[in-house]
Amino acid sequence: MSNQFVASTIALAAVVAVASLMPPPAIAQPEGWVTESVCPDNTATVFHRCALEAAQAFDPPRVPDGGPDLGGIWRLRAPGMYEDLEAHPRTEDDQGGPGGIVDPPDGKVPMHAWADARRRENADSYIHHNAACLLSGVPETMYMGGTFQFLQTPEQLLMLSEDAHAYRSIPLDGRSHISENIRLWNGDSTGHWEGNTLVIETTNQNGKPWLDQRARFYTEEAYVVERLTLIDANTLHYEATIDDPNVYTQPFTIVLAYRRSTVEGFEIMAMACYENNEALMDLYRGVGYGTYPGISAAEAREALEAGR
Amino acid sequence: MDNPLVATFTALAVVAALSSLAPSPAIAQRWVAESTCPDNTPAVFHRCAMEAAKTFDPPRTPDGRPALGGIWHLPNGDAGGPYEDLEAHPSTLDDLGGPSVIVDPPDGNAPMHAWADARRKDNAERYIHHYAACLLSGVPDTMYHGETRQILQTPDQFVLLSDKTHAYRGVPLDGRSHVGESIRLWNGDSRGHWEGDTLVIETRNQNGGPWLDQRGRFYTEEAHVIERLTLIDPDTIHYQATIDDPNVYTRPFTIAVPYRRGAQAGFELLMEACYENNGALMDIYRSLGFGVYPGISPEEAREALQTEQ
Amino acid sequence: MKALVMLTASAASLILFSTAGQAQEAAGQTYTPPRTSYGNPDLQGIWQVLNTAVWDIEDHSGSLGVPAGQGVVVGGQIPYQTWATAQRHENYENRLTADPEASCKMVGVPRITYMPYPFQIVQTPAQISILYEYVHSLRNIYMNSSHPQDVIEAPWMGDSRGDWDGDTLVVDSIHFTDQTWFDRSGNFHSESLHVVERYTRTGPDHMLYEVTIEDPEVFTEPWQMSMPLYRRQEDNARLLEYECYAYLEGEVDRKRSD
Repeated sequence: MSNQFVASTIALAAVVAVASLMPPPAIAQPEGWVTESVCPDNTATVFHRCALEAAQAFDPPRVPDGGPDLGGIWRLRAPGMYEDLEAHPRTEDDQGGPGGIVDPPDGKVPMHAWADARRRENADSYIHHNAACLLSGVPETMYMGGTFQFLQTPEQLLMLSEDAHAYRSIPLDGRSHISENIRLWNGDSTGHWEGNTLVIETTNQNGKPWLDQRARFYTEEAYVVERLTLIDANTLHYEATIDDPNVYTQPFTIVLAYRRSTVEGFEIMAMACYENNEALMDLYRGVGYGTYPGISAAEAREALEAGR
Repeated sequence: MDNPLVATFTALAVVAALSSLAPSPAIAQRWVAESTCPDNTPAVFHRCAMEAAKTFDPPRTPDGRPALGGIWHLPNGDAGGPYEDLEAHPSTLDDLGGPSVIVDPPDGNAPMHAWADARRKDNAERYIHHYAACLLSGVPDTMYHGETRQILQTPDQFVLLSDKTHAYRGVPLDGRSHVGESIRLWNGDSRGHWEGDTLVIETRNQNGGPWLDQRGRFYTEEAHVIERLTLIDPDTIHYQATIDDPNVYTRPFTIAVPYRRGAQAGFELLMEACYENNGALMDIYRSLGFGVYPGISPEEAREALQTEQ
Repeated sequence: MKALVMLTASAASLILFSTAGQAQEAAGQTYTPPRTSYGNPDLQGIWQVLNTAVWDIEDHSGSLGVPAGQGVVVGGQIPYQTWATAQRHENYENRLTADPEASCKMVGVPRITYMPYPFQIVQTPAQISILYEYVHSLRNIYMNSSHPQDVIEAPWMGDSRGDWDGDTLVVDSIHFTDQTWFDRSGNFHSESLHVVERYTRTGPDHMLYEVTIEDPEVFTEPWQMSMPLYRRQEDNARLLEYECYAYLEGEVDRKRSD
């Protein structure tokens, strides 16, 4: 049951979602992204299979130091993912979407039974992190909000999002992770190239952001591996595998498609969120909601033992 | 009237004072006893020291300056307890006693305006001396409160370490300007330069929180203090300080004390944890109605002077 | 004679050649910084200030929670209009609650630079982004472009446009709110604030940061701040986070459930 208070923030995205179900036309769309693509992006599983093939044949443009150039303004093509990772219908609260899980093949989030029950309870007591302008963690940052800017230098890939002016800085210099005693909202990421794919490993998250508005959660022990690959000049294939045995019965993988923006001189907006959010926070608290406190790995393991 | 509660701190000093009165060579002394100038009366010492300085060629540092570095003791037993009272005062249960350390004016009295002299007596009834609260002593009280100090000298810095509440004074010798007037510091802002073989230190930017002695003698943040340190023999420093604050004193006045070089090999300065162990005493002071002296602004001091006239 | 002149000239050029572009910090000599692959001075890395400006940008004595400090305002005093001096005093009295930083809001420019946390400069040809630990503040400085005429809502970090003046990055920012303060002691501005920053590398690990503040609604004339930026030296130096409002909101929830 999605949090109805967040519905108002995603109205614009609904328009985008409907448009994506139409076949790509020959001319640049007023929506502002390149529609010609080697792979259709309306269903994650279809896109994924196509992309894996296309990647093998594509020789991407490179940056001076040699890696593929992932820089640019990217528009997310994954309707409704932040609402629900699984396929879900259009309603008053939701855009709806086909879901983004490619593994397991049934497209369902493989939660332990206690965790699936727990998330439904949580959705009734806590607001989604985005409603409080809190950071979205990994991988939700990559599908919360529709527009991203990637800035690539030899040392790092900087991913800017429009969601509460968030940024993720991914070092590419092979450094080790920080100590496990440090927990960060967006975790600690390191990136390296495997052929033409940028592989990002993220640890040290704090487990407070949700994966979707259905309150799918994880613990601080979650290990996320993302893979970004250009499959043509204007399409980015993104996969994320989430591994947290405290909450999930197996690692599972989601796939997103990004299309390069065609808007001339586009400037990503670093909008103030929290500074204007006081009235809404009062509203949420007034009806008994609070911010989600997270669940520790230890507590999750106990719950698994107890079966609830 | 001296704050009786501070008397406890002087007990150890009394022992030190008594031992310093004994004849020197056969007994292990904390400082070098031989000196060009007798140091038992500041006025006498001062006159002698001014003469001795004229002919003494001090040991020097590699950069050619008099070597002031080392462990230095203020022989309280002989020079008395200036931190108790800058003026001459007798030995009592509360006080070591001693001669005046004021060498100018020649009468040895602190030249306070009348209102200020009345005010300090009043203050001593209501406030504890800064050291009772482990607060810093300012300039020049740091230089005569406590028997032992250590000087570290480099070409750019003169550093004075005190054994009271691990205080330090860093004095740059590189000719830089003072900090802005709106910055007030407990130990002020000091700048040093050499005049021949004398180190001259100018201090301003004090906050007027510390007293000059336990008799409550105070000053304001506009005080300007000039100190002069001169070696008059290998083991004696002649220390002078001129305090200039027309808001409180009718004229600048000068104190002088001797420092004697430490004689104990491998002596290490005590880093006193004062505040950390002072909680119970602060409670006692407060329950007896005493507080920490809040200082007096130059404006308030000038108004008091006006009212008096 | 001619041969001697030529020899001297080549010797001179040899000296110039060897010192130019080197990582030297000789006093009085202008430092030539290394360049990015596309030819601009490279300002990248993790930087931080070491001063007391965040508490008070002017000279100040110490007080509980605040060390004494020398000001970063060039010339010493901020040239407030008369009414503004009174407002500043009022701000100071109410600083523990009225300062936006006290409620974990963004702190604007240039205060974000001298917050006591590291920040990271990332450069690309058309855009320089600066990432700050304090509530993940972000500034995107667009190069060779103009400010938009209007903004729907004033971004708390202003709208920034950058350009190169020799080896100095000059950043011009407008479209501020009036809700941010310059420090924790109540120095303030209006929405008409116009900030020009200059970032100049002075050595391998130092940068000079100079700021001109203009706000005709509050000050009698423009004024400046100046301070060094220091490169973080640790092998593992990196930005972590200070998610102030996350902690704040968490506290509110904890107290409500008690």
